[in-house]
Amino acid sequence: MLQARNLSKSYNGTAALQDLNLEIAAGEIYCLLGANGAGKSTTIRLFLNFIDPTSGEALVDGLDVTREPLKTKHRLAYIPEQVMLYPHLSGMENLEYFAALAGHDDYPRSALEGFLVRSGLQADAHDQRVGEYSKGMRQKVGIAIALAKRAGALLLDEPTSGLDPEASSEFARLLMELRDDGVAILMATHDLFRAKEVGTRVGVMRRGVLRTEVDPAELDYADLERLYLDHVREGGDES
Amino acid sequence: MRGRGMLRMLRHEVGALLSTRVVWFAGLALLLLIGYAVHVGVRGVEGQRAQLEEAQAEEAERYASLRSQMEVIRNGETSVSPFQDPTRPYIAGRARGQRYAVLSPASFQATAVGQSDLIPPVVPVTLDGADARGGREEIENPLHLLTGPLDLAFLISFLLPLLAIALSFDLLSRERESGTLALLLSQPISVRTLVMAKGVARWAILFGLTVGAVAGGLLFMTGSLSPGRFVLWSGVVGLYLAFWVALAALVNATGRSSARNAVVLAFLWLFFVILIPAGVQITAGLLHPVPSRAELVAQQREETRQVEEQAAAVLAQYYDDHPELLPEGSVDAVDFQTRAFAVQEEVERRLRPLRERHRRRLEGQKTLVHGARWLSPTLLTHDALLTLAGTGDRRLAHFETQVRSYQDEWHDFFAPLIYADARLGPTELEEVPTWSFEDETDREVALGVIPSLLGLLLLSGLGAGVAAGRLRNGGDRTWAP
Repeated sequence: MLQARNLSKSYNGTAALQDLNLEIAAGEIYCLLGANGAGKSTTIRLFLNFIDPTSGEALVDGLDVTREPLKTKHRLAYIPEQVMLYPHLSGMENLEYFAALAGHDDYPRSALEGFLVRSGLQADAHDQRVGEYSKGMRQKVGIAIALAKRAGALLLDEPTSGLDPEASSEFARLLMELRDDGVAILMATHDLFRAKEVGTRVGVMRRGVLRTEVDPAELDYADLERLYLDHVREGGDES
Repeated sequence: MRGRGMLRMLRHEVGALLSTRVVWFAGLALLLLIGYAVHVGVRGVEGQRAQLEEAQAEEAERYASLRSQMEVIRNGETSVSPFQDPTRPYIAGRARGQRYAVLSPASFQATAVGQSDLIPPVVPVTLDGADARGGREEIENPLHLLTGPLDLAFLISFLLPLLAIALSFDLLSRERESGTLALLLSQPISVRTLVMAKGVARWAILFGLTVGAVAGGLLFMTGSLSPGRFVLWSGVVGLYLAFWVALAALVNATGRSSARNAVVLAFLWLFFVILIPAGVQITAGLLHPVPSRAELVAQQREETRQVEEQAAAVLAQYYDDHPELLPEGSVDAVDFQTRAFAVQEEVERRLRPLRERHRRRLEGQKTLVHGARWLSPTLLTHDALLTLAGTGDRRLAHFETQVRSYQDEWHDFFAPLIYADARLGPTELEEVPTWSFEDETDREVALGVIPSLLGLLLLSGLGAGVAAGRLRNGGDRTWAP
């Protein structure tokens, strides 16, 4: 579903991402770990075609995102680290608008309510102006927008930042449901615990390079943390 | 699907705009200003009409009293001094019998005061000449806009762009700065469609408000709305607005901050609306300096002095050319009024090259200013708005030409009578040429406006095209989230 082939991006000669090769099939949750600036967000931005790759290609459903940006965006849902919405509209109205832009302008209100409920937004907030929302509430509307898109692939950039532990755990449950529905998920995260919990695969990045890839089921949490620290630490083992 | 998405975005944008205070404030200010500007225009038209009616009433009254006075004199019931005697063509052809060349307000004149407050709409035509410009030597002055009355043409060409800028300077940059652009562009919509929807929404609000308020104001205050001209007027306003919104889109496409966009757009406003018109005016003055009026007056005095000395010779020359007009007796016995008239005509003849030169310089300036309107959409728009209102140089030149030919007709009627030392009665008075004005047709006005419309279309298309080019995928994409 999601595929990166020798995907590279450099800014003025500085590599932000080098020769990334990645394949995420339907029903997989791929967690990208790494320090800030490791290239996680760059990878996601490349899939969204917000930036052009310096070389290599990013494919969604076999379609090159630079050649078919609109078609590939149909198949992608995205939750940014900070979901920013229109403050003069309610959560419901924001959801309705973004769903319409995604091509779903025919959802009845009950369906839209369903998405908001599933994302964990309390019912009395649905018609409140987003200007009065907390960051976590906005994040939930972002999740609802992604759900409403019914996309085959989901790109998540630190999606649980700003969520309280309970909401974060609900979100993890939701991700697993989506995985079971056959959605391919790429999640950039700092949250080792969540990665271990939901990931079907975990990759560790450093300075634009994917250093290692593991199956979290084969490791316990402590092993994963050690692995992460080994790869992320400055001057760590280069092998 | 694509059209539906565009419509959805438009609806969203209009809603978003209406939820901000600045839009309501700008809209209210626009409505009030338009109301006031239409009021100014209507008052100007009413003033002009009153002036015409007064002049025409005065003329009719004067002619009635002339007629009865002529009857009395012809019947020998009284004697009047030759200076007062209206049966003498030299007297009747001047102040006593003068008629007015009048310019009626055009049907759409309330939309622009333009030059109409500088040009007398009532010009007395006498043997002493007619000066449709009332001695005014300036030409249509783009800077006059700055000091002129707050009429609709000023409002449209100067202030409307500021409102367009206020609403659109951050049309894309704000989505980026507030973080919504990332979520927007993760949807299957192109940034071009997004920017177009945003631009069209802003354009539609300002255009709808302007056209609606002007139509309402005109109908309310005058009860009529020349539909043909109003459609063309709306076209000019719509394209001018489109130019400014396209320019804002272009500046936004560079991917700079909202604050920077505002500064750049304010500078562009200054450039197109103030600097270019001022530059054109200064250049016209430098390239085609108008000779001073003092020079003309001095030469007139000098010629008059010389001709007075040779009055006898001048008169003799005339009767040599027109022996049939020579009254009984010799040239020496010719009436002093005839003699004065001959001197006046000779002076006029000698001054003609100077006046001609004067006029050519003015024409040169006018041509240059008119041609330079292509440098700025503001000048194009203002020119088109005045043309539609009938208060621009175009209709004025039309009026002046007809005043001049009426003046010639007047002269050709009275001159032979003066040289023949004839006397006028009520019958001859009926034959004194009367003024009739052949106004521009709607078709001529439309043809005059079409080049400006095309120019504005080209400029706004160019702005939108370059913006679309910058908003393509690939390249540096500085506008991206």
